[in-house]
Amino acid sequence: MIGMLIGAWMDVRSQPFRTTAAIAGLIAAVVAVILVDAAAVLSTDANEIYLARKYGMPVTMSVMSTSGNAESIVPVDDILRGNDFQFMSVDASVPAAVIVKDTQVVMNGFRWVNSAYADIRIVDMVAGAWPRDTVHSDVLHAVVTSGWGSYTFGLSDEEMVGVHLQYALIRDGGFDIMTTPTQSIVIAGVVDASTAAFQGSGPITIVSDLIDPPFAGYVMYPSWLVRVDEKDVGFLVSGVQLAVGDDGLPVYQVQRADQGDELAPVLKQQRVTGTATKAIALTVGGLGILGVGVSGVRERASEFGLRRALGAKRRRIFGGVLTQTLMEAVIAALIAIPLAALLLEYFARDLVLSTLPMPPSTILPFESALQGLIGALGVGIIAGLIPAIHAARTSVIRALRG
Amino acid sequence: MSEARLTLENVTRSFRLASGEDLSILRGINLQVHAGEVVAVVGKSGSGKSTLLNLLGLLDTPSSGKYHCGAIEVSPLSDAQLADLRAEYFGFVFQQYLLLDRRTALENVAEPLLFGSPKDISSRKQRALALLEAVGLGDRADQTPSVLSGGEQQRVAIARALVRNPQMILADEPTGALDVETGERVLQMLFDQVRERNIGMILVTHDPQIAAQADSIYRLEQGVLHQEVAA
Repeated sequence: MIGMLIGAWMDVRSQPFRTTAAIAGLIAAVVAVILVDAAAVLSTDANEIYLARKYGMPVTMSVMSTSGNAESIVPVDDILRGNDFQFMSVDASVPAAVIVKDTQVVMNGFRWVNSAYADIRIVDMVAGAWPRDTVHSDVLHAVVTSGWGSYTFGLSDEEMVGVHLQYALIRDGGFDIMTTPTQSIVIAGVVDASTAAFQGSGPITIVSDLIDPPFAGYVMYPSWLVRVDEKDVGFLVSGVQLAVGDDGLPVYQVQRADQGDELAPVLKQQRVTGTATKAIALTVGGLGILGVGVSGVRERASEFGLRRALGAKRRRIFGGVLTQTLMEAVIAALIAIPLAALLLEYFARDLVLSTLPMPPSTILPFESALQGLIGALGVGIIAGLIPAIHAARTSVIRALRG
Repeated sequence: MSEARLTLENVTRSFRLASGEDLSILRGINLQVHAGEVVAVVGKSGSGKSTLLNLLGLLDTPSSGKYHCGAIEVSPLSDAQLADLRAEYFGFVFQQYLLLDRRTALENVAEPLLFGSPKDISSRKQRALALLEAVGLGDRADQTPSVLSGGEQQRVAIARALVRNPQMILADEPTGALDVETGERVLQMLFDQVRERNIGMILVTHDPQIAAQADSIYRLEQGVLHQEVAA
């Protein structure tokens, strides 16, 4: 092993141009990997600071009913309020029907949220505005998803704003248009259905801070959005899950719902783009080191043949070439990591999303540096394999003949 | 006479042609080389000299027959075992020197010490330097082959062949790329080193004057090896 390392180092040292070419490409790739990763990490940190500033608590949790049992709703409300958790919004499904010109349009799955929902989830309005201060209104406010008005009433999204509808709650699937009491709702706005918070939801979302009426036996599988401090997450989970049903199983499931945070989709997109960028950068860097490696092995065929004649085993030749490539990868990483740290220090403001505050520290995150090192070594191994196999298979006799 | 360092018994080497026919290059080769013995193999181009040297140096394997390096029969050995035996047993001197261009003379001489076993890493430089001094190139240790003359490069190659204390030197036209005067000096040095260390040597050449300096001469004709009777 020591002999192999010495041999590899002598190869690296004695071929400065080849080595520089291979290393330079990989340095660029590793710097790109580290900076892209660091940008995502710093933006996530900054987003947590932003959310903490805006809402006071950095973590959004979702407390979901697992049984659909309406009777279990009140206890969780008590648990949340009783333990000083900041209750933010409910998100529930309500079986209801909407009546249009004496014709019932049944939709089992009205959504019911309160006005704070828009502060937690991303809500893109197409027309109108998100309803606020609904407590003091004598009529329920709702938003509809874009396009539903056109499909149902022949009205554009803009024309849907202000439309009054009658709706009725459905109990146990029963509904009679003549006898079931109805209530007025006014369409306050039209939301973009492609926004994450509204994907897959029904066309009508009632926005009301009056949470009592539909909860009395109608609501299905409600969930509550709660903002908590990071350190209280465990307490919330264990506290809420103490509530068990008749079967002894927890009636609530608690999980993080941060993906719904305001910039979470942007950050997620940044991570996806970043992953693609990292993969492309490493692939390009790897192809560079592979190309230089393969051409180097071809040039050095007689050298490998000579070494085989002098007693080198195939695995020694294989290991020597692979070690050489790995050595280049390590050198590239050792240069790239401090270089990336320096660039991050100077360009942090450009790397973190401009709508976010700067995180308290712009020191290169350890995980980003580690990712750069692992990326470089991974590329070194993968890109070194083909030249190493090629070198180990060199025909001694043919190589010595030149 | 001492125990044979190399023994070939009825060794053949043939190659399968694309047409399916076998092309026989070496036929029924019998040869013994002892410690301190210098054997010259002469023959025309295409007579099979290089193939014979490849077989002897364990770079190729016989199609049939038996080949012993000392007491070791080589045919059952794996590729890795052959590599080890090659490192321990043989030193090679090639017509075109075959030095590593980007390494110094010292590093070239030390190169075989990286292979085989045991690998005496700590003393490899001292040992290589001692060999370079033995061939008169102690002061050129840090030079790369590109600044050395042909004769000096071949002396570096000889030092490299001797550095592991091999049992046998295989020399393929060692003076073929040198002028007559330089060739004679290099050859004399090679003979001196081999005899001083009691190493066996097989010398492939087409020069009768060089062959005449060997202890015995074999002629390879159409794949058959004949011992020539001394004049």
